[in-house]
Amino acid sequence: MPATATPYVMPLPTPVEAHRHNYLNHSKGFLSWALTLDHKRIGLMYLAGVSTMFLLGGLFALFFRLELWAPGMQMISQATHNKLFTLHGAIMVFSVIIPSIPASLGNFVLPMMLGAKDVAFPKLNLLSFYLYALGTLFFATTLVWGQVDTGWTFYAPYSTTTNTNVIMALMGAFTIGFSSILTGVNFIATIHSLRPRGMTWFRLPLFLWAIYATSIIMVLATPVIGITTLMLMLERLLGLGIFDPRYGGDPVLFQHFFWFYSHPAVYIMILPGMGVISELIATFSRKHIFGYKFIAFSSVALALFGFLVWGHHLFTSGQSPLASVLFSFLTFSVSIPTAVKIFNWMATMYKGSISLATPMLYALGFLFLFSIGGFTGLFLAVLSIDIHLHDTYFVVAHFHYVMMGGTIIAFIGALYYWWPKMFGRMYNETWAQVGFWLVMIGFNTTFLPQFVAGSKGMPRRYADYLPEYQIYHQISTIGAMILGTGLFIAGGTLLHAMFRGRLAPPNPWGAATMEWQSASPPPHDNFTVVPPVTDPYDHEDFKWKSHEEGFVRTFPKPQTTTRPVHA
Amino acid sequence: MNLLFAADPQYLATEVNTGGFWMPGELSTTAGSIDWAFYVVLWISVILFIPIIIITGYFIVKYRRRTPDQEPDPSPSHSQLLELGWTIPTIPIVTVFFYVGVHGFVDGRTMPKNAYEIGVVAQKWNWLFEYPEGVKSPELHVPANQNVVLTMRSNDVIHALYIPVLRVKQDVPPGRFSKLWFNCVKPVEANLFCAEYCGDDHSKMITKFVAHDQAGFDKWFTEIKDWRNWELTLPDGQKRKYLPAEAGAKFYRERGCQSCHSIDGTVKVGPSWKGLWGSERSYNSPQGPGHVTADENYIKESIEVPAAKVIVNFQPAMPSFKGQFRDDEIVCIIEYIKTLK
Repeated sequence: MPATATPYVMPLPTPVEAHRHNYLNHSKGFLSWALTLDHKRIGLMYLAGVSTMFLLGGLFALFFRLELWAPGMQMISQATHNKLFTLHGAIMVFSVIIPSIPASLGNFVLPMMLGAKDVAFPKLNLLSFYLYALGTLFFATTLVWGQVDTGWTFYAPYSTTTNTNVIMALMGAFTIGFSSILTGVNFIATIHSLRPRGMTWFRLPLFLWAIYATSIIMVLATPVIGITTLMLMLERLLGLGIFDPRYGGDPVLFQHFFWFYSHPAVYIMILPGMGVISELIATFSRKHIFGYKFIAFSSVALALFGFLVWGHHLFTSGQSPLASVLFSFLTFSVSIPTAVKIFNWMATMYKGSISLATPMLYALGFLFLFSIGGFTGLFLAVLSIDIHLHDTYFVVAHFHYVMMGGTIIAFIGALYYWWPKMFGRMYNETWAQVGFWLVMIGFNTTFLPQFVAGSKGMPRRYADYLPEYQIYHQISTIGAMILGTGLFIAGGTLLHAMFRGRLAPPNPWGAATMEWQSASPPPHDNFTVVPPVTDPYDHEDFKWKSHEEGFVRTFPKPQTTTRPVHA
Repeated sequence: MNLLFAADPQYLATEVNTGGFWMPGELSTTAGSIDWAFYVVLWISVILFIPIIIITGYFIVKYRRRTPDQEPDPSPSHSQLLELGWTIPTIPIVTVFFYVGVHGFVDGRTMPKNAYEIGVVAQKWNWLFEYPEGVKSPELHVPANQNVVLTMRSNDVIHALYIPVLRVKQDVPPGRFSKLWFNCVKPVEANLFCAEYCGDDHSKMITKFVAHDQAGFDKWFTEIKDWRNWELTLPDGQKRKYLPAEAGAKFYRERGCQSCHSIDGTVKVGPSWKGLWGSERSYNSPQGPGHVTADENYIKESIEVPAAKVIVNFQPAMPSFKGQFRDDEIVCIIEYIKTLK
């Protein structure tokens, strides 16, 4: 077609014009935010909630790491330590990691990646946010009223007999669960119904494949934790004998119910992180992602296999040995799609033009940390080794490498990546990199020694410990302080950029996904001109323009229409 | 004669100070195969991890963007052969891991015949080990080079018995019996932990694991059988038998009383023992409230049927200790309480 030969530049507003009128100042006042149906504003509200809770959960961790500096109790009682680690875990899992990428960034980016104006059900989206806020409020309430001390796992019969405010925390988990389900339903509907003409399933950015797989787990697994928390509440309130053997219940049944949700939930937490990494590595290598279909299908495979492996949390619980053997076997099946993703990301960088901007540094950090998390998972999947390592610091270190080294690192990388789009301003590269290196050094100093402490037999959830484990705890505490400093710098850099950063071009990274073909920050309706649908990794259409300090699309792809089907 | 109340027991550093960088000393017949599996996974992981880091690092250096407009060299974006090439080899690797794990696990779960059997009671926050002839001990003493089977139960919440040097761990949920076996290959003292979170003093639920040669085990057994055989070392190095109140103090510390009762007036889960003896107690009972003087019968009843008289302002939280103390041992506890004025 002759049209292909015509040089064509997308008509986008200049940064100054974009700042004059965009979704942030489209309407003003408290209610314009509190009652907004704009997915971008809802995403930002989630981000505010998640960040606040991350700060809170992080401070708890720093506090009990200080207490663990020396054997004996120096600052707080054992009971207080137990409440701190419980709230650290519950807040980090339910209020931070689960909603972090999908609910905050997913909300902001998903419709824009489809060239759409919003998600399929904007009102449901707002309801979902308020359920999240309410659930988080329940957790926060336990701080001042009744402080929970069950661990985030709520194992019965401890949780049914302790005199702390377990009901309030369970209501938190229950309510946030509903928020998750609604978000999942919304995202599935959006990806099915709002894709523009020409965006086939295999033209979806991999971030959306990951969000799609995540949403399916959210919708299928979360009801189980809802029912389980409800049963626990009924048992506490009415003495129903479900889990407590004094009334004829079975405590191991609770663990099955709990992990039937919570293991798939691990994939709710990590899949969106993997989706982010696929985008970052392709963009910052200026390469088409390698093995698109393998990465996409491995997300779906992880979502499916994730449902079949919950029993590997119960190897020492007394479940039948045959069940343990089967669960061990199935657990190894999860390791294969994970390895496939890592190899594909590496292959994407081959012969690329690799920029080491902060988002890419975080993506590389993810590769390093998540690989360690994955390899140490193998130890725990091996039955006989898990008997020794279960409930020790080895497990603590492993899941921090996966959840924090994986999801949170990807989340921070994603924030740096999409920050210019969200607020139309660039961050300070120097400070961002200082923060990154402190986070990496601090993280590894904190958690590497915990692998050794664990294999040496140090049990987890101990408020106090024997003197021979002190060296590991001290290194770990020093690391935690460095990590905390790094995170403060990372957060401070982002906050500074939000208000003082230089104006961002529409596409500072040369990404080919649709959200970058709108102004930064985008207008209320997301696009002034809806961009053509192309392969989301065709980076060669975007050329560096030094006067804009960003990339500009020069050629439209001829084979697609520019008309969005949902308009 | 001055009463001597020994300090809290000291735990030994065997775990960390023996063994290699990763694992504590290897003291059971099954530990070897578990450690072997650990090192197989460790070294295969290291061998796979290093190339990932080196190749990624090489790409970063070699293909680094030097000018903002630098474009990549063309290269394919998919290769069926490469994908299969790195997917298929993972299958035999994880199969090997699976196999070595199952092998060691099944050995650990198959109870041997002709083993020395010990009962274990776990409760917040102490262990009690039950031997033949009704002998009870707060520490786990076993004969070395002999199969030992532990039959464990819990009085309250889930606990887990964990002895790192033996590489054994088993949850002890309430409402069922859980079994565990091991064979400790030489006389040793090591730590025994509770590994499943069980509340406030979870991290204090630690006791000693001691393996003796047969002669040493028999000697220990005769001594532990009756508190009247216990020997106390005086500050000047001389030895004498325990007085009842001293034995009572040892029961207080080692049989779980101190988890809930203080001896200095602090209110914990249960009332403090300070000033308890001879005091007037107001209680609630299934028959209604009442008053009682704290005498021998009241203390014996409170140990064996704690719900019968629950002191005002406290919850009926105490489990029954019926059968865990002989009458002469209850006398020791009473004698101890008498000293707490």
